[in-house]
Amino acid sequence: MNDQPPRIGRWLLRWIYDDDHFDEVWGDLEEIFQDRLQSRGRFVASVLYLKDVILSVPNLNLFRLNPAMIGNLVTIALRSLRKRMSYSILNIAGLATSIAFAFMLWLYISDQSSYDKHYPLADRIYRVNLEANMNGKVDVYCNVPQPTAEALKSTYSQIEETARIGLAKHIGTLEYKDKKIKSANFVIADPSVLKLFHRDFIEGIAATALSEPGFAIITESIALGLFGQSDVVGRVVHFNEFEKDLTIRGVIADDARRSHFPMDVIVSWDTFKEFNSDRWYGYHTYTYILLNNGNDVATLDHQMPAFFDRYFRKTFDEFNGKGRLFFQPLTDIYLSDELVWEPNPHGSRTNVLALSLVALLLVAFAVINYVNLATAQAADRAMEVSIRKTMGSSRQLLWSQFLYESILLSAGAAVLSIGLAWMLLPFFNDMSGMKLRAYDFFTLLHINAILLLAVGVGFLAGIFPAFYLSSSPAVNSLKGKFSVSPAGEILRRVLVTTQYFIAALLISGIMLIYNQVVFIKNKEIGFQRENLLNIKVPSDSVVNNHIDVYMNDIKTSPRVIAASLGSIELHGESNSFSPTLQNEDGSRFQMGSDLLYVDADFIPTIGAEIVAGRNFDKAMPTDREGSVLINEAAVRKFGWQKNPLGGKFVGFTPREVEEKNIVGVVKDFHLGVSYQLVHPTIIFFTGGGETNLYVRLNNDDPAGTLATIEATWTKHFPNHKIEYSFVDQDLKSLYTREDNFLSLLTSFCVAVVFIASLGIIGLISYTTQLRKKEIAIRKVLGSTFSNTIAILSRKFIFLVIIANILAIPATWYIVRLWLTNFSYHADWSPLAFVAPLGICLLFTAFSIVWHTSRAALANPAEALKCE
Amino acid sequence: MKGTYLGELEELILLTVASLDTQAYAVSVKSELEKNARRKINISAIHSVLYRLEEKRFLKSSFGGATQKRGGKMKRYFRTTNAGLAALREARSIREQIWKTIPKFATAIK
Repeated sequence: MNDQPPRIGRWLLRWIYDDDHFDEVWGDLEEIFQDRLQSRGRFVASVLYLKDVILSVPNLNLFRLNPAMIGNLVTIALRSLRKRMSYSILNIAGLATSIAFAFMLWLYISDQSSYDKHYPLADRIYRVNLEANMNGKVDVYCNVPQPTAEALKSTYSQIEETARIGLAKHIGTLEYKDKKIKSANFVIADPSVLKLFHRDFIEGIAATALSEPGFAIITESIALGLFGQSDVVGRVVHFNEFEKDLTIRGVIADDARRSHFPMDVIVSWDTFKEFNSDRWYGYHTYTYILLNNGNDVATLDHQMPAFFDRYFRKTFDEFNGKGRLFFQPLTDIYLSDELVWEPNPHGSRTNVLALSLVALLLVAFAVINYVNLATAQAADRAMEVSIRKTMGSSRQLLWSQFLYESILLSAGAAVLSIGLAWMLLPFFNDMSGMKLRAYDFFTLLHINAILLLAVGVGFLAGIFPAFYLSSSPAVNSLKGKFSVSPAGEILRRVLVTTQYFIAALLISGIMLIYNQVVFIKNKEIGFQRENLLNIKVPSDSVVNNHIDVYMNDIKTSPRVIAASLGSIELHGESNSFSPTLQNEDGSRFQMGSDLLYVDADFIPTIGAEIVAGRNFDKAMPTDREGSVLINEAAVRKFGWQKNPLGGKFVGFTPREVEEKNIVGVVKDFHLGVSYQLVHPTIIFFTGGGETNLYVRLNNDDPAGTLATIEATWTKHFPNHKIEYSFVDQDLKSLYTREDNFLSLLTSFCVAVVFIASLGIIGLISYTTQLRKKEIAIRKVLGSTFSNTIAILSRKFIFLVIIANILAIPATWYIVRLWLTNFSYHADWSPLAFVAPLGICLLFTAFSIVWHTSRAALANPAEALKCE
Repeated sequence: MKGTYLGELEELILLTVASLDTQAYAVSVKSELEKNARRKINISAIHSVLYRLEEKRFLKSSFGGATQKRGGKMKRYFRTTNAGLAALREARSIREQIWKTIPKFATAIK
């Protein structure tokens, strides 16, 4: 039986303690180990033993040096840094860049993972999601039917509280006397929302702030904007978009901390009674539950099928649907995949992971560079080390000398990196979409973090050289026999190959990701997005009744090519339902599908294509009631490939029969992002109440055209301000996340490659210098310039090629992982694998030529004479 | 003046060494502290404090007592020096003086 403590512990202790103390500490630890072995078993004892050893690291001798010695070490370190100025500069530049960039990445990553974590009860809050399979159309909704909350709370005692939140309006307008203020994030919510999502009240009290219809809470900044003061409880404001008067019952502090569901105006749930529904499918609302202290979500999960059967089953059976309720922890929401109807766009866990990896690589590269350069200089330092040893310097003292050197260097780099980070901050904000200001950025905490990071890096980078340099036998180098040891050489080769490998991986990774982003942006989306104006039609009876008059009015402008009304956002999502359909042979079935309402001009206005049958025809009175269009995806899903026009739409639900003929098939066009599959869609002829007016403009004088369109609007609807946007702009904004990711990744990879090249340049210049005499002798013996270069570059070129070959499968694997976010993929471009090889080779060749040419062109006598 | 000041853990450990008389070494100090002060202290921290106290000349050490359990390694036994005892006495008297200045009712309330 083995009752010895882990051997590595002894090795570490040997390193930590000097000869005077090592024995007794080792004995002490072993004694404790034996006691624990008796009482708690081998595994626990070993783990605790290692913990004791690791906690002993702060007892390292060099931390207990006498102050005079530290002063001396600093002087020596500074001297040796100055002596090798160019390498010190390379090292400091590399370290500073990596620390600055790694730090900014860390800020971004911690921002992305901070969502919702600040709510005090966050770890017990879950969102209720619903996965619905309606006749084969599967949607995972992040909201559930309205009665779910009440039913959950009354059925399960472990649910302490539930809260429903409805998104009233992303941008809403509040009006008070002559003041209007537009603000984001209007929600309607149960009073319990304040229990789950704690907010600090400046005025009013949480308990009654949402207890009655018409009550509302606003943030302090809105209160100041509307009233010029925050003491406004009891005042009445007008909510323009919904024509409602709201009584302010509370003013909450603005909260800049991140949430997947930010709320700036909270209106009591009962204010919008007209939206209430007791149906068990459709009319969904976001529902959150707070579990009691047991926080046992697994048990609750197991009870959900029974709960579903009891409440949802009847309604789902009508649609021949299946469903499943499940809970998502609040703090997981932001970085998880987006479900249907997310209130706000999500971040991406893959992207955050990828960037964390890049941050780690940055630090790793700085360390690798340092180790590379330091071990390459071993020959130089060997004489110094030997003399120190001869004069009686202990190994610990030598270690501390080298560690001090590297820590000093990285501390210098840290100071530089703070300046660098400050300079790069605006670009970083641009790329990441964050809004960091310099004075938030340079808090004491962050500066300490930078310094700590720097010292850590310096320590890590210094350990190996310290160990390596101090271990050279003193006699050999004093005799002048020291040569670069094979172990150091192999290590350096491995490190350089790693650097090339990572550089190649990043370059080809970025090229492939760039390809994909360009691909999804330019992908054929089934309609023409340019010069297409989307005017929002306010939900107001006056506007709704006269919008067609307005439309006909602007159509008379020569710059307007076409216009059309519809209830559809081309950059959004459409509603879905589960209609009854009829095959050519008269058999009926139900199948989930999306639905759109548009007028007869819609298809030509947006530039979509009819591939079979015809478009709606205004001239045919039967079209308005009796015809529908379907898209190609629907044809495939319904299995109507043979004769798509032979099918029939029978009704919205099994009970209501309202037969319509399929008169045409539209070529698939994308709503929203182009990388998701097009849903099967049924397009109905609109009968009023449209939400959007699409106007196709020709290309000349857009400003003038917009002015006309606006002026005409004001003439028709003086009480409503026109709200419009261009469809191509709206679509572009959907790719912000991909754009940000790409630009962040690119800039950081540029930093990584920059640091790697610093290291490689340093190494090349150093090896060239070491071989100065060799070059001179070769030259004397008649070697040509190109010969010399070839001999010197052989080793590096070999490493470059190995690294690039290794990088290919790694890149392929990682990029494929990232691509799972997309339904459509760009082709793999072979260029992405060849280019990095070319770049690495070119770069290496260039720096070799640069450094070697000096040695090769110099007079050989210069190099040879000095002995 | 540097050297006469005693940190809280230093004081506890110095006291423990004094109370253990001839049997004070790192492991016994640790178990004694766990028993009396009811707190867990890692052995590495005890080593570090013991060596520091020795540097401050509050402790002196000698080797002895190798056992099989320790893999045959010697123990470093610590004894308090006169300076160490003086430092302890001073720390105690400072505390007592301050205690005396606390008004009666405050101590009565607890």
